[in-house]
Amino acid sequence: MRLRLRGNKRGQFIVIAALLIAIMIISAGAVLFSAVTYFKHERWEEYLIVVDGVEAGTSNVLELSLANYTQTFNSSVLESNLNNWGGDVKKAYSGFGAILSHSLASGLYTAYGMNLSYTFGLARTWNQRISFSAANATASLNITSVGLTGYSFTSTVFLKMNIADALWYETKKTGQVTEGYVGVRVVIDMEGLTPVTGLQKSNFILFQVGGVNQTFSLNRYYDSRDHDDGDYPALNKFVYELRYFYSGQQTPTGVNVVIGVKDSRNIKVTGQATNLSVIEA
Amino acid sequence: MALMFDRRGQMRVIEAIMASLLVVFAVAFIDLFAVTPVTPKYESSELEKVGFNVLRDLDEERLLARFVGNAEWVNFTAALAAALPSDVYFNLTVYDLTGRVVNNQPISYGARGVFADSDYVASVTYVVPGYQLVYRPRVLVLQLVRS
Repeated sequence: MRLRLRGNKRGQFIVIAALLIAIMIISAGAVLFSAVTYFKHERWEEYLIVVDGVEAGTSNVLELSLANYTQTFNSSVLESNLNNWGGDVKKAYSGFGAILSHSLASGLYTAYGMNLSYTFGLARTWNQRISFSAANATASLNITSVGLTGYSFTSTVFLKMNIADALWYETKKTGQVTEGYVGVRVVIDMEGLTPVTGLQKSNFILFQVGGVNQTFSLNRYYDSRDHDDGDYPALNKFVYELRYFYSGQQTPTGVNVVIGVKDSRNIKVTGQATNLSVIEA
Repeated sequence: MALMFDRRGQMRVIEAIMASLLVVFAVAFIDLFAVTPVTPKYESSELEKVGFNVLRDLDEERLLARFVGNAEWVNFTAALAAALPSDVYFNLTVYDLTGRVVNNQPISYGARGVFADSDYVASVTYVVPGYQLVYRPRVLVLQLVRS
């Protein structure tokens, strides 16, 4: 039997095949090992954190620059701040070789269903029924330590105020005197046409009716109810209602209002509506 | 009976077993070289993500710039302590761009020396460009250790 086993040469091909497979597995493993070892030492998470941090910081620069512009009308503030920001990113992330460059929006853009005319990345249209302030810049980030080049992102900051309408709440009618409240309603959106919902009375820095500053109370709600006995459909939007007292011989039919608002980012918009129709609440 | 004493093909079985063993040994050999992240390193990376997310959330809530701009260090410490897991110690330092420390009070939580004694300290850098209308960048360096 031993002789037969020793002399049996059939089936050696299986051993050779298994050897080949084993060699292939070891070779593939060696390649994988070298790849994993190489990439393991890269600080991927840190790079992602740097990219996210720079992107968030750039957005913050746009916000504070737009806030500055809407309050000081310094049209070069965004360019100046982004130039500084590029240098400061380099210093703050010096170990990574972060280099940030930027380009400012210029000329006519169409966004949010509106025409935005940018100069040095800034745009504003005020004293209209639909008024807005906007900033727009595109930045490009290189992280030379890891060979990342040309990571590009666009930051936009936007605040829009739409003076929608005015509601009439009659409280008393005696003889020729009519008393009640007029509620001027505004819709305020930010970038992405996201409704701005957290404003307080102090955020409305200007409220004039007929050219005169008015004291008012502020109501906030989502308008889903029809008005004027159903003739005036609901706005189906989050609205701010600035309500002031009215007393006169007739029910008001149209009002001239100027409203200034400053959001939590300190970005300001001033809107104006002439002969704004007043409808029954 | 014929099957019991038939010894033809035994070599094939032995060869098959040997071949299988070869493949198993090869896989086992390669497994020795498998690179999996060691726990402390993984932990450090996780802490970095946690720290960054906390700072990012505070920034989105518009609290970060306010804390730094108004030097509200006590509030900053409380916000970090509330936002981070209770078993995470932290130490945050605010620098200006010349490297000067801006916070005149410690913004930290945890026993003294815990950062010096720990082998793995996660560190996150976050830059706050300014507050309200003013561009005045501050570099926040947040160090984190799990207790």
